[in-house]
Amino acid sequence: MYRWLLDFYHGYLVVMAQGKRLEALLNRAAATGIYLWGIRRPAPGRLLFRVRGKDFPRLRPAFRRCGCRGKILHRSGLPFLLRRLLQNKGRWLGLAFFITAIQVLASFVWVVGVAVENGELPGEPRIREELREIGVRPGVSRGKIKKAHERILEELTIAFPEAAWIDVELRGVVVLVTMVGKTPPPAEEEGPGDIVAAKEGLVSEVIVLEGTPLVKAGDMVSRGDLLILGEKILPRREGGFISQPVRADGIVKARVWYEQKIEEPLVIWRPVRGPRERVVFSLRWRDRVFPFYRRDRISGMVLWERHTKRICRGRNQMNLVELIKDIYSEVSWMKVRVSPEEALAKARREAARELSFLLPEAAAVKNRREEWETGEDFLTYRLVVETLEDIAQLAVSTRERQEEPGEDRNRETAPEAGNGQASGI
Amino acid sequence: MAKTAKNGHRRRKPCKTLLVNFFGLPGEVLLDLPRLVMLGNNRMVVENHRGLLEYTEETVRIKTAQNGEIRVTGKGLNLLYMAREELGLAGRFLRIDLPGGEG
Repeated sequence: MYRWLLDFYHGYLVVMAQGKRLEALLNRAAATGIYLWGIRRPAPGRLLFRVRGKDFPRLRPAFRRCGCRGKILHRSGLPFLLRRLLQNKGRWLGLAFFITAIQVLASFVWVVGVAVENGELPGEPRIREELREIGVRPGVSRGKIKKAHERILEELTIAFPEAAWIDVELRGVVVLVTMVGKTPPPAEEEGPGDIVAAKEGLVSEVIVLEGTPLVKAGDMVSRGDLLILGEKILPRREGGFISQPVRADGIVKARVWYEQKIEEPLVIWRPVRGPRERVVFSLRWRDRVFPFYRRDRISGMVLWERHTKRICRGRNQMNLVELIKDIYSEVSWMKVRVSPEEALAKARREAARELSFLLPEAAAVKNRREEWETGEDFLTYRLVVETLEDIAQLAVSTRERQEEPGEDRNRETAPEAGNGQASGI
Repeated sequence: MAKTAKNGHRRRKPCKTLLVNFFGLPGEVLLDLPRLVMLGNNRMVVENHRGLLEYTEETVRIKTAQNGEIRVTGKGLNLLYMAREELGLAGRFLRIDLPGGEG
């Protein structure tokens, strides 16, 4: 392989020699220091061999003296190839023209693709027409599209408000416009329903928009209690009342109390760094760590600190390789007494954090009460927060569903039927 | 062992040969002896040759120093390369004769 590369680099000739003293020709060539290879005798009186291009002129005297005739059958190698290429100017011009043509043609957009996904969007012809008006059409330069990318997106967003997401991607000579339509939210469940209490609380205000209220301000309700009944009482001309099932709606504001109790220890065990420590250097490559050495390991509980250093920043952009220094320190445990103030502050923080998960965003905090008592080993902290919030929650009425299908929902009831507390609270 | 001349006298080895044999020096360097390296029966490298005497597909005769000759007989013989002091031969070797020459 190496020999072939070298021969190709220097260039070689395939020569056919004809004559009677061909052995003498070979001997003379060898004596002159000319290297010949691939020597064959295709026929008596004929010899085929290969010789480097620059050595061939030195062979001429040998041909003459041996009375042989030489003929170059083939020229091979880089020098001859380059010469052939350089001699043919038309080919170079053609190549330059071809590259330029490719470059020029590749700088234009030739295909505009439209992909519509999901939702109700206008048809592809309408989108294409809009794109043409904006300036996205075959024949436009890619640079123009790149520059106006933001503007195209904005104009498409204005033109198609029903689209939830629009993307204009330039892939070579293709502009691909992808549109995803808005998915409408699922329709709310229709039908009659009641309003029940979402939490336990003291009702302070009831605003009924639809239905019959069953509670009034000052009532104490538990979670799940019926607050507004999904029925409307209408008077009849003939006398009496008609009960019509409706979808109850309204606001029921109530005072709700939240309680959090935290026990904070006053005596804790704290790790203290011991005198013995061990430093281990490792090299990380991707997700594999190669420690340099592993000796004298500290057994038992240790305090572990890790420092990392990125090496070869210029060629290590992806942070594939980094040097890691691990410090393992011996740990001794010490009994520490925490001051009540410190424990109280910690308990307050913990209670507030836990309460933040329980309080709804719309709740208005009306009152806040905290109390604590310090024991021998623990501090007990209690936080009570009073809020004013809407506890109304829609519950689909099951009464109507139990009825036979096709049955008339309107039914006659006594006027006092809707005013009482519903059973099953 | 010393050779016997036609007249019956024992011919003495040249001084150079004695020296080479005594000190174990490379003969191909000091005595111009040909060195043959064979790879099975289809490849051969001859060093220290003095040129070709005959080259056909059946026979290759190589001249060596001191009027020696190496005759290779075989089938489809061809010269792989030929340089001033070394040549490579390929083909199916059937017989190798080393007539004449000294050393």
